[in-house]
Amino acid sequence: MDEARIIERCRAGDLGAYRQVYDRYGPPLLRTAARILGRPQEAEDAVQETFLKLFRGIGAFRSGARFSTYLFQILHNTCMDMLRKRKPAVADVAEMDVFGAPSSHELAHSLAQAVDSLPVQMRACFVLFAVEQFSLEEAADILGVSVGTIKASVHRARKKLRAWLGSCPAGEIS
Amino acid sequence: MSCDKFDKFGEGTLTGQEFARHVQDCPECREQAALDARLDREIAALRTPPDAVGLWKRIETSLRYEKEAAAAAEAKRASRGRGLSLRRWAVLVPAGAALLALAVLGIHMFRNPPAPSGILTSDALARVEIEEKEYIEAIDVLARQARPKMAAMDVQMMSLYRDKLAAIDAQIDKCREALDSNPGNAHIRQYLLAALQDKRQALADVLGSES
Repeated sequence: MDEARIIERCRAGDLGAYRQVYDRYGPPLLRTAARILGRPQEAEDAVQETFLKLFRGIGAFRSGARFSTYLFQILHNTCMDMLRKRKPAVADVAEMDVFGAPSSHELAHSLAQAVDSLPVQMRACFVLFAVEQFSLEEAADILGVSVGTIKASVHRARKKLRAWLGSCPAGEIS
Repeated sequence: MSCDKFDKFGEGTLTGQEFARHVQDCPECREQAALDARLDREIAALRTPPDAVGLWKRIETSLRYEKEAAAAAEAKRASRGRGLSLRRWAVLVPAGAALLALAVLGIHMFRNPPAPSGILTSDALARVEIEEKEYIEAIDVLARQARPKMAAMDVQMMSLYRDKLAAIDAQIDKCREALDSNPGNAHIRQYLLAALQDKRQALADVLGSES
């Protein structure tokens, strides 16, 4: 079934259509939330909340707009709300920069952990563009920033990750 | 890293051809290019499907609940709409009834002394108001008991109950506003009672739910 038809059925409140949206977008939504939030359980909560907000707001979705962009915008806003509500001490750990401290490389055993340690905005740009393969324009739409910001953030993220990767012998990262 | 050509290539200020020529003579940039290619391979591993057993079931349950809540709210709005059209009848019917009553009353007064009907209405209203007040006080107690339970809920459930209670409170406020100008209107009293019962049920659900 094409996306326009699925959206139409979503508007009519058909839960089967939401299931199709989940089958199509659930995995990338969950991956993105997991990378932005750094916690799998919270990522599931964020995706659930995203679907609830989609259900409530699908009437406002413009048919000319790109649905995936709309969906990821909701997810990103949900993740940002969750990060804001986190207790400061916990947020500090999640935002810890493993690239800065000399012995901190031990903390990042995998690329996923290294990505999780990037500053949140840089992380979101990197995940959407480099991992989920949105175009620069789409990533900019989702995050509500300019294409230049996405480019610069992805460039800086890749530089940090290359430096991290350079310090890990090939085959050592999990 | 002393050579900035790889950065310039990344920023787009150096073309692919220029960089390809440069990299042949620059071991630093060759190493960066190799790391970049390795990074791309590692990124691909981040695209593996995540493990989320039971997530759709959770989402489906919350959507079903939301759908039912929306349907209930819609039904309530519709019944309120019917209530509004009833208001026209509420004007016309009493007017006709009043004319008929005047005729009947004329005959009745002629035969019997006048009955104190106004006092009876005031008594009934006073009784309703006392009971309403007690009911509202009891609900306030329930709301205080439910507050810590709601605070302990997950964000999802808390927002569902919070929205539901806010919608009911708005309904209660509207009824109260209408009753300020027309305290004897039985229809509005019925709506207020229905809203209070909804609130009691929602709070009972909060207290009965697992946090």
